[in-house]
Amino acid sequence: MTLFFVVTLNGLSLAALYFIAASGFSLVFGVMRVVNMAHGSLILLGAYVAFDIAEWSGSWVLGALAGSLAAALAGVLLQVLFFNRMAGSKDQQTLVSIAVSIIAADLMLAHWGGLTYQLNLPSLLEGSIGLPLLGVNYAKIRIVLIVAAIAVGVGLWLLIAKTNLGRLIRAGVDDQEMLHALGFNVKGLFIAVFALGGALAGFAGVVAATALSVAPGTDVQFLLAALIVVIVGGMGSIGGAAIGAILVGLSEQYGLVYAPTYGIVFTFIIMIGVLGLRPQGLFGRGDVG
Amino acid sequence: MSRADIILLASVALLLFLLPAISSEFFISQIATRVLILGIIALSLAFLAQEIGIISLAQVMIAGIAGYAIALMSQNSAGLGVEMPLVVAVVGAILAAGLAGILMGIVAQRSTGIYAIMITLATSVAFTLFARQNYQIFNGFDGLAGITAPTLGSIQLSETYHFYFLCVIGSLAVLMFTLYLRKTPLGLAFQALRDDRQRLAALGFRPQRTVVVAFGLVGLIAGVGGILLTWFNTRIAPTSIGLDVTLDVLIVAIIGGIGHPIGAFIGALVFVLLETFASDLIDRDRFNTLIGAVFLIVILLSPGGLIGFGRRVVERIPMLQTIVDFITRTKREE
Repeated sequence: MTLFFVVTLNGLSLAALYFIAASGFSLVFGVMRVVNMAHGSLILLGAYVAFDIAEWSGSWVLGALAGSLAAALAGVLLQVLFFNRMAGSKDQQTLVSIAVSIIAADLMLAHWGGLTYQLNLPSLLEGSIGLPLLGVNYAKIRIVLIVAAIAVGVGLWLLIAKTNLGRLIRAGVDDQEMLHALGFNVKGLFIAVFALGGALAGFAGVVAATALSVAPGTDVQFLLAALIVVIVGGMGSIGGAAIGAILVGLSEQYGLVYAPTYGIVFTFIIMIGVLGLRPQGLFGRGDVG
Repeated sequence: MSRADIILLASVALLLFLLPAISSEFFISQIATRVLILGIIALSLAFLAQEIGIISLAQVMIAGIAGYAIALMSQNSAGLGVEMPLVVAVVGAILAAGLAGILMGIVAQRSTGIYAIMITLATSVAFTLFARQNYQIFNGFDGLAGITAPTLGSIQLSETYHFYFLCVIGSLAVLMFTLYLRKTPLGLAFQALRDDRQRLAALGFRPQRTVVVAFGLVGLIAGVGGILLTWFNTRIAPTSIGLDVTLDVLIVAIIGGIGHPIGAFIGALVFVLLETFASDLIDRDRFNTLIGAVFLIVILLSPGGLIGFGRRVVERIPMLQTIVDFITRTKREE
């Protein structure tokens, strides 16, 4: 029974990581209907930059800030250089982001090499804490990870539901042209959204590099996770991303423990099941495609 | 097939059959053969994209399923599977790919556009991970090796030139298949599906079933490519069908252009030439940057790929247009 609870906690902490990774992806899609296949590259870039800055300054916080900032900047560049110019064609935007992800992966490999990087924990988060009732020690960082994901989720919800920027974002989701006609700066809004999505990706990279480790291929791993999470949860819905992340994270960890070889199959069956019942995902809107 | 298509196909066939007479063995085995195999797999992607407007990133996975099927039905190093007579193995492998296509179609039947891209990509990556973990059927990371092209009577198909001709025949067969399919009522239903799914449904067709059929048919094409690929490499492993290969095939299809089936082969030619001679242009390790940049430039500047580019060049130069019109004896439709 203890094992079950520990595995559940592991699943939830993985879900937390997936949620942070998927939320930026989902946000960008929700507002702009852009599937940014380079999202995984932004995650990896954030992790690498965070590692370099943390090494240089000796501060995890500075590293995390720099990583998020670098990914946000890269996201803005993507929007300004490419997506902005081809607003009409969704398939074309997707293809461009795939091309960018191929180039980015190769250039990052050239610069940072094939090594595995891990960010040193801030001393505050090292070690483990005893869990009440279960009587086992559990890594602090994983608990913090879950808290961080909840904070990101609540923060995003507050931003979208309660602030002016959020109102603009929601208006942009519903009717871009009308928003533009009303005199709002849609271009600026899109850049802001991309910056936010990129910062979330970069932060996901920082968290991944701290709790786990990152290496070439991490980009694909997290892109795939983000894809499945948002397919299950519904594109553009933050709540959907949370539910999707929990489903995927739990199934992966249960799979790992109870059926080690076929963990990926569980995840996949969840995706197929959801698609069969609701092609737009659990919390997605009706307009598939 | 239209007159223009017949002329095109005949000249391609002539060129391919005469090629060994004018080129080196290196060119045949390392370039021409690989172009044809890559072209067949890319054609299955391009044809689906062109006819029903869905970009499927599962085509390499489906080719891989045919590869695994042929490996399991032949003698292989891992000693897995059951050895079957050649005809059974080949037909079985192609049908396995067709079935995989149908299953993929059932999963993706209600999805279009970017959703279809994501779902087929997720499926393909999941399958690769599964094949890497499974040792009972797929022999895990190592995959199945030692699979050579068979011997027909006294003809050893694994020999460089014989294998090249086999690939030529395979390519011409799938080209003819796609050009023929476009003119059939089924092909017209595909195009109607692409243009207006709802109207097709209103006319009494079942769009989702049409999607599944299309996925099944292009699965057969991918299957042909998968068998040839496995024979060419003499092995099939998760790395042969990984994400990088999937993206390569996507790049090939898009660079060539999805306006005409021949585009897949033109894209494959550009890709293989770049891959082979990249070391002369750029650091060998940075090939992905080069091909990614080419891919990016083509998407940004010529969404129709090289075929679209060629078409525009012909249209701009009246004399070329007259020559093309004369050869194909078609009146320009404007």
